[in-house]
Amino acid sequence: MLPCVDMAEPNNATLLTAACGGDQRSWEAIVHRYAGLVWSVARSYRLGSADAADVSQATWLRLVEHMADIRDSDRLGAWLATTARREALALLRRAGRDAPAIDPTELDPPDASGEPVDQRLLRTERDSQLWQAFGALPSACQQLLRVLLAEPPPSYAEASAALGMPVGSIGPTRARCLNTLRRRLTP
Amino acid sequence: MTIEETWMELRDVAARADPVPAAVLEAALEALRWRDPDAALAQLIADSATAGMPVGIRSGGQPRLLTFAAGDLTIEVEVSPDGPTIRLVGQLVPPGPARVRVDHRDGTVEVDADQIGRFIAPGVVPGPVRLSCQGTTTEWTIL
Repeated sequence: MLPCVDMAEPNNATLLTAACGGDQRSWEAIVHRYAGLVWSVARSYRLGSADAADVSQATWLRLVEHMADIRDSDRLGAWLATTARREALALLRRAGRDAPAIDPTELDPPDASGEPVDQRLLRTERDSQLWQAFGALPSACQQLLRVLLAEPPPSYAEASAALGMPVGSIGPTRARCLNTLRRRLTP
Repeated sequence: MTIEETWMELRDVAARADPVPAAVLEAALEALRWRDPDAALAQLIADSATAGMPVGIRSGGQPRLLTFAAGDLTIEVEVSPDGPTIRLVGQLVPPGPARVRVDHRDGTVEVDADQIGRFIAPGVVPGPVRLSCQGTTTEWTIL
């Protein structure tokens, strides 16, 4: 059995300093803390899994490149979210595709470039119904909710960086989007 | 049902429907091995892909031209499809022979630039790529 370890979680500054010096365990702690956020940001731009994987990896490689330059370690999550957003937008621009509109009231048709989810992962009819209703929301709603669905849940500051949206708009937009989703579901 | 109940239900489904893929997490955990604190970082200063016409390996289209620069060194690269991989045709400025290393998702390709600074690197895996030469490394760029 492994000896007891200190369960206090080191802060970003400590982890960054150690990772900067090449400490793999500190790097892994950073990745585990934010991998969900980075993936969610890439997915929120409705990238397919190959493109989202590229955006995720490019974001992490950029952190390796710029670790020493990050002054405000409390904003590491926001830095990663901003970087992933830029990579996703650059990829969409290169592919000649448009980013989802930021106006959540605009009604878009369901995304054609998205991939069908593995139905085996959805246990019940209700799961499928909910996931389909989510996929039929206006694109800006899907984008915002997809970022907020990151595990662990991002702060609104991180979501703001991911979306390029003021922090104060996130709560109200989230409520409006969830209300639309709720109304479209049969109870 | 309240919107917070809808949210909890959506969270639960999303966690199963679209988790971080294991390979994506694995690649992120291994990214630190590309740390190269002593290299000078060359910035991407021009990219035909963001200057108008859609290009790109996955989307098809024209070869993509990129220019990286750091200090006195400029690296120009043309990217074209090469089966499932991509081929980089490059030019160093100022021209001259040098060893050029290309890092990509699955490993590294090393080639020699000739007397006039030209190099060809085949078999590069599409995705984040960087080039290194004479102590200078380009920023990672998705090709």
